[in-house]
Amino acid sequence: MLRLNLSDGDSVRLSNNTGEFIATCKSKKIKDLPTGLIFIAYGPSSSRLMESDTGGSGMPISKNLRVQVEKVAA
Amino acid sequence: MSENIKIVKNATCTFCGCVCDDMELTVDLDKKQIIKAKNACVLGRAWFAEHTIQEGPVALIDGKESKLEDAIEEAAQTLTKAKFPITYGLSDTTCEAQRQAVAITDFIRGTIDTTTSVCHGPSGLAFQGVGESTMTLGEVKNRADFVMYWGGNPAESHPRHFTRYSVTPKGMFTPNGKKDRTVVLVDVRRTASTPVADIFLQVKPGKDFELAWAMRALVKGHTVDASIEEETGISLEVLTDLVERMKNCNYGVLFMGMGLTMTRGRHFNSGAIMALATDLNEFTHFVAKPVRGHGNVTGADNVVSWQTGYPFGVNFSKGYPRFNPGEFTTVDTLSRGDADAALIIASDPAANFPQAAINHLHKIPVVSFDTKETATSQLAHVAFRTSTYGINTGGTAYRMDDVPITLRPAFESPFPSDEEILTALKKRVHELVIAKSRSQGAGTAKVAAPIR
Ligand code: SF4
Repeated sequence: MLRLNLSDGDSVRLSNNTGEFIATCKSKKIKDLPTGLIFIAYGPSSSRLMESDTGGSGMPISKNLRVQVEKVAA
Repeated sequence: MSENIKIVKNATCTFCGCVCDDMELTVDLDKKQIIKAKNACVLGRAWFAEHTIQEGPVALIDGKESKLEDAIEEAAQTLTKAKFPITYGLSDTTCEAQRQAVAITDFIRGTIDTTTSVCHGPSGLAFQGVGESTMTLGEVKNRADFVMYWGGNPAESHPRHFTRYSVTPKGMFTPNGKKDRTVVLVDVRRTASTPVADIFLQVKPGKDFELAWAMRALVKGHTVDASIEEETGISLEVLTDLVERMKNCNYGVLFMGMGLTMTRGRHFNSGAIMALATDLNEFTHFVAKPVRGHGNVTGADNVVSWQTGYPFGVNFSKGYPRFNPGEFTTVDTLSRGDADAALIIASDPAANFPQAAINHLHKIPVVSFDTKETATSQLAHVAFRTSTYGINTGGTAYRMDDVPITLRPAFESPFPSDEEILTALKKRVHELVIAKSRSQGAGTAKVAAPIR
């Protein structure tokens, strides 16, 4: 968050090739959530970022999704 | 509190795969409400408290209140007219209801899949590939002195897993509870579960397979390069020490979370863990088991397996069951646009599937079964409101270790059970399929006898 000049409560756009959604930032200590990782709950928001290709397994990649983060005006 | 109070002993919580069957429920029969759930965790208490009886119609057709019989007729017509109907969900209902859903899907030559495909489906595939050294949670409680959780946060998802089965309970060969156990946690981040662990391994995201494979190499006595730390985030020294502890324990267990199945590697990750457990049996007794999420998702695997021979992603279009994940699993049949009608039971794919799959659900007629309004019931052509399993209806649910448990309901609901409506739907579907077959000049109907 420091690197992107973000503070708690800021709005960010999380996007990838599949879709995007706006989330609100909440910081965590690096020890708990390493640099480069964002945690979001599984549900309607994560659905927008999940590709439907299951690689022949039936399971879409639902964790460890690569996203772009941009600060947006609240 | 009213005078009309009932106590239900040894009731079962079906919120998560722990399926704790030691609940003592205090029920206000006048208000039709559970006012106390002794022994339940925070999630279980919420589960019992929130399942009150809410006024509302038993069925809706296109959002309008409908009689139950009319909705059953409309659902049967919808499913029998479809060319590629799918059945999905089933993880929050009884085994008795699940078996009716299998029969309906067989009659309509549809495709049946359960929430397993987006849960531990990959572990199911791995199981078929490498086998599973398995156990019951009772064995874990009584024997396990080395407990490892990989890719999960049971403190928040299965709160009593630690206290009832695997970490703190005192067992026959673990009389001092946690003091007799080494607890290890592997995850990409610290969670509420981390403080329980004696050893915490913070693996780099997407590197579970590499870590498990390096551990397999160490177990087998091969040399592992120190660069494993750069690759996985875990040093060779830590790994070597861990593997020695695993080889020298009396009874070890590896619990697999969805951090393994939902990330890159999927079934390869689960397969590596299962193979690691098997390798360790050269030295000691070691088992591996997925930590299952929904209350009866394990039952869904069992019922679909005993009825069709396969656990999920099963297609009946040729008149016999075929299994092919990636082709017959629901994310795929929806995202590709194959499905032209859907029977969704006790699950809410419209709230958690990839957007492409949700978009297709909006385009096809959906028949939904749920105890409450959900994102899926809102888009459904026919939506049934049913009673809650384990609270209003009895039946059977499987704990995550494949142990079947009989449910003891607390109070009656004005809504029918999933099983009741599905049984009526099956009957009507069967009649329509036979009539269709006769009208096509088949003479005698080429329809299988109903599955009992
Ligand atoms: S651990 Fe799961 S099954 Fe047990 S009481 Fe809690 S929510 Fe219910």
